[in-house]
Amino acid sequence: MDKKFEDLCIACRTGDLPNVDRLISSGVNLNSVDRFDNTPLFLASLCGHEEVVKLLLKSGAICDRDRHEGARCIYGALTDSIRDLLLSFDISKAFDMNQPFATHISSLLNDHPFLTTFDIIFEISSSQNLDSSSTNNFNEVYTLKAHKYLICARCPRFFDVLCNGEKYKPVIKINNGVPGYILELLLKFIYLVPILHMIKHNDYNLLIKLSRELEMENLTEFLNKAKHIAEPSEKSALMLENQYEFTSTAKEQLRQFVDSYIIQNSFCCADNPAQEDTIKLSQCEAYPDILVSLKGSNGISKIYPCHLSILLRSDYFKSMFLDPFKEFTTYTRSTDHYNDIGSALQVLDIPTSKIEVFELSLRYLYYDESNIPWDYAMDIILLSDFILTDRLKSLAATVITQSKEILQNYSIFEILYFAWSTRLERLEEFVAKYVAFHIKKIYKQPEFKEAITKSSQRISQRQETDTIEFTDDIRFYLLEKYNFEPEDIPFFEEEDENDNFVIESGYLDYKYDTALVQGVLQELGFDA
Amino acid sequence: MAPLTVKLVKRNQPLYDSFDDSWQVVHNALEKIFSDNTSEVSFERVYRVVYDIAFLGETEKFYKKMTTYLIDRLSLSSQETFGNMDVSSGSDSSPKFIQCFNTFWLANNHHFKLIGDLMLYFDKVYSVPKRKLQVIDLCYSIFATAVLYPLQQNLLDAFTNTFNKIRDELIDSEDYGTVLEKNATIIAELKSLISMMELILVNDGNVSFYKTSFEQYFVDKTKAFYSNSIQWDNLPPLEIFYTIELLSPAEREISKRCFNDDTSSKLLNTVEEVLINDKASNIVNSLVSMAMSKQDKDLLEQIMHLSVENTEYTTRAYDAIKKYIFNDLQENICVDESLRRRSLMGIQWTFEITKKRTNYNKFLDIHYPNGNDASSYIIDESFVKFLEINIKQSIEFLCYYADSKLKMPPSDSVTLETIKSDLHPIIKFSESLSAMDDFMETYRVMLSKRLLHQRYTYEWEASVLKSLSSEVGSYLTVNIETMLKDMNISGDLTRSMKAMTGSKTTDSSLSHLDFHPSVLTMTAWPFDSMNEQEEEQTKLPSVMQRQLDVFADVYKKRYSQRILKWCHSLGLVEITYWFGDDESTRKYDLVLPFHSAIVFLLFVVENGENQEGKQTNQPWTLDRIQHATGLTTAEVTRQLISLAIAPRFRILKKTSPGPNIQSTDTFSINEDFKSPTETVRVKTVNLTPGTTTTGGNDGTSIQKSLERDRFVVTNAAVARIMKQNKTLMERELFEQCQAVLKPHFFLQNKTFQHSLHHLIDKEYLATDPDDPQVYRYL
Repeated sequence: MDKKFEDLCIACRTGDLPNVDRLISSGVNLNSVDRFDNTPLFLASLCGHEEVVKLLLKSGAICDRDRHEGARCIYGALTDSIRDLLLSFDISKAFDMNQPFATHISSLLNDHPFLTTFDIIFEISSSQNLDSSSTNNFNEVYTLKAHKYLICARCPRFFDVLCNGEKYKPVIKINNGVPGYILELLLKFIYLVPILHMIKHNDYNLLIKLSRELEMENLTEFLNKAKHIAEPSEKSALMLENQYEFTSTAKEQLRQFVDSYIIQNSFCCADNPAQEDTIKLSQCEAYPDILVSLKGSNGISKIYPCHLSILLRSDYFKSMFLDPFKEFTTYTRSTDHYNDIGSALQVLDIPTSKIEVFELSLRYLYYDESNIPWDYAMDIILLSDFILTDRLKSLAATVITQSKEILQNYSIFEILYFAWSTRLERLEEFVAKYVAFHIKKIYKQPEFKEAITKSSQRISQRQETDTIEFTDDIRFYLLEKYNFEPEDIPFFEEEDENDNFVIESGYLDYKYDTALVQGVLQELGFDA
Repeated sequence: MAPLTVKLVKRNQPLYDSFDDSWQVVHNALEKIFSDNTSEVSFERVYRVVYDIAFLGETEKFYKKMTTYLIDRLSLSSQETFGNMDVSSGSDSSPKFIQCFNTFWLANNHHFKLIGDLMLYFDKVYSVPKRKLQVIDLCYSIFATAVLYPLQQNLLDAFTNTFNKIRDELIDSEDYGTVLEKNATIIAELKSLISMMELILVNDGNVSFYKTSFEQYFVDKTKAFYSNSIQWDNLPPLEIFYTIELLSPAEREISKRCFNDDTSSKLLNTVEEVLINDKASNIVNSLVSMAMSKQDKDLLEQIMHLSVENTEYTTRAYDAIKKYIFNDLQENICVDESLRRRSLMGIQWTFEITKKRTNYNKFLDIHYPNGNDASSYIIDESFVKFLEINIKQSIEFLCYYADSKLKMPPSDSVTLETIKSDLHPIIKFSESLSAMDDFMETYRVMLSKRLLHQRYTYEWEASVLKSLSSEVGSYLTVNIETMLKDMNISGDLTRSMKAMTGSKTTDSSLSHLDFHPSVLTMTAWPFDSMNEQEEEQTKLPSVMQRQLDVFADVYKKRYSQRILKWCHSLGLVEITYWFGDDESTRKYDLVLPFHSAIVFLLFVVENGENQEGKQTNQPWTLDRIQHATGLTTAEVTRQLISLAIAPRFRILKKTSPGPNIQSTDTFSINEDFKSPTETVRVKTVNLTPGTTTTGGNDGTSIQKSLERDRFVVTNAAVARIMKQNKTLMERELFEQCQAVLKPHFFLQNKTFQHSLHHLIDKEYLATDPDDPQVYRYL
């Protein structure tokens, strides 16, 4: 590894501000990682050197929560002020990073040891494949692997401009003088890898020319700006500005792709699809490598052309394909014979009967769609519980907690049971809070008593201390309701109830509410 | 508990309504996995079935089913694999067993992972929230009970046998690489089994099987291997040494390759314990003697480096070297009694020692495991031990040697540098001698003579003093410093006297006298207080007396407050004299002690005050001589015996023959005197010890002053210690004193008792009335 970069990492650990400053001005790449995958920014925030963090951010270190490294910085920050500092520089403003979109897309460029989802290989034979700093053999063939659907979605002109329109062969030979590493930069851009720090000054013109021909407007614009900037802090500001935009563009492009190729090409059939229909679907313009089907409530199946590389965002599919089970075997066999006319891709069944629910989930996987209508939220939760997409699951849970319509259509206890069965603590708390705030209305309901009883049974299952979680949660939210801290209560207990101060504080109301809960518990025979 | 019914959202209908049907699906999948037909298992289907089971609330039942199934399945396949195998602990079948077990483990480990992945959803809804073992850990735990424990002893034996076999091969071969490469497969298998044992947790998942059942067992077996596998008793020491030297690296090589750092260091420590503590330490003595007698530097270095960390071994090795040196010195260094003078014996003896020391320095200049200065420490310690055998004689001889070197006049071959290197060992020894103060006293006496006799080089003396001072401490060198300072002052005074007399030229008769007065600070010089009466009665030749008066004037002018007293007996007179008649005069430079000189000068000066030519001898009797010199009869007798009777310097002749002096004898200058050298150093004989006023050249006076000094120092030490402790047992006090005084000298009980009595007399201390062994500070 670069000695200077190593020094920078050490200086960031130790908080050696002057040295960091010196190394930055000597032109070291701030966004590289050491052999433990730590960025200098991460090291400095973990070790709590706020000044160093500030300097790094100002000098162009990138903190992108939508990327793994950026998320680690924010979570690893030693102090709140460092975290706030990082957040103020954060470029993506995403709200959750369990399955960051950009990171997933970027990770697709890495080859998995035995499961490969690439469906296209570029072989570039050019005398300028390697950049000038490399001393390797110049005539080596440069090989790049990629996903056809992603190129089509992100850069429709790619094959026309660079491959003479050729795109049906699995291996495409390119011999048009464009060096391999330039092509690699373009691919990286398509895969949302931040490339600014990888561009050599001499390559700007060629890249700008290509991006214009490829009609990648925001890349062209970006390169034109970046070309004239040498100052690292300005460079990073530009990066901050643009990477978010790049990600949004990519999302939009993938949304269009899902609409026009996946949804458009999907077809309905009764029970078992005809062989020729699946073959036709396998060869559609979406370039699928896997088909997904669901059986609607009316008994009609719907089949979608999909991409394993995208489905792998879900742990369900990941486990399915990373072990040598039947599905893996079938997948490798079917993609091996990709070009054989007449072979069909394997069909995976999704256990949901609602087309909308499935399509929403699909949109989430392809481009992070998070706009979930309240009436599908519960189905989405069930499905993501099954396909193990925890982030989508909590997104949907948030929708429930924020939707007015839910409570008009479902009882609060139905939501509680649903939360239990899907292990959504957030939803459990939501229910407890709701009950606490509406205790006067609820305490008489038989459903309330039933819920308490059920909660107590859950405890015996969990073999924990003999408290009832549900009522404990309610008590907690009762405190919140009247703005008390737990330690305030003993104080109020000693005061005179008729004291104005006690009355104004709302303590009597609080006491009344708690008494209601206590009453129900006694009635049910719980002493707690 | 009944499953929760979720009314509001409809889940998809389960694939199977009954649990048994669902279980059948899972069971089939597991069977296929165990029979390595994984590609026939549909993840999608099994996952869905497990999901349904969870949805139907049958998780607990399912977990139990799984457990039972896994136990049966693993017991069965273990039976199938190992049932017919010869698992007796014969070493021949061990590698086969290892291979078989490893294959079995690897296959099952793979199965476990697949099963764990299939049960992903189950773990999520059941194992984790209910705090049960996750499915993959359940598999490991069942593997432990169903396979590992029943076969534990076979596995451990086979492991040990196989490992020992590789050890044997490594020991026999010099090329570790080839052996390891040849055994690469089996080593890989062993390593794989090690990671298996580390992975399998026992005791409710708190600790690995490796820690509980394997590690200590294997360490013990390793110990047994190295203790028993080699017929140590039948091997000669050198053979044992080379074997040991081979074993440690061999073990390091193999254990590093297989085990984690912790275990491999435990193993190496065990091996070290067996090899170094039990074996090498016993032979190190004979090995060292062998290396030293053969002058085999390489072997010695190898011996020293056999173990770096084992201090017991290293200490033994060092001790062996010391013992060897000591024995060598005892056998080969002896006093050459054939030499005429004791000083020559001493010089010769010390020379031999320094030669030995140089040789050992060269030989022992090897790389030592802990620091490089080990050699000088070893050497000095052994030499000092030798010197201590006869400490009195050693000190005397060492001082003779130093004296002989420092007396030499500077020349091209004798420079400050050669003096420094010649005396370096002496100075080094002096520091470690138990009677350091004795050494310094003896040195001081010899120094005083050098200084008074003007046979010294100031620069050398100062340099030696500096080295001594840094070795023994300034406490013992402060007197010597004063002595050297005295000499400086004397030189100064002489110069200023010359300047004064030179300008005045009051007395031309003094011009041919070369006068070097030495002004001595009485307390610093090793002489008893002078006999003032005797000194004052001494009559000097008038020329000399005039010279002294001139000097006294100069001195008084400079130091008006001080009293100047002459101590003639310490002086030395050099007289140039032509013996024989006119035709064959022989010029000799006579160097005479002061009293001898004034006796001799009687024959020259009193006969006519004519300094130019030869004098006619007048008869001098004992009485007349005594009268003329003012010396005591005994002293005059002694001087006459020295000058006329003692064999080598008969510059006077006596009228009657025979070795005795009679009152009728007359004396005259022996004009026939001949000597092989131009310079003749006349020595005054000793008639009865102790009568001489010059003192110092006999041991008793050194001893006396030494005892006096020691007594004072001991008093101080006792008082200091008692003041701190208030009460002490006599024995404790003695030990503490010894410790405090160790840098100066070795405290004898005699001195200590003497000091105690003295302090009790002076009422510093008192014995306890109840216990006479307890002393109190008053």
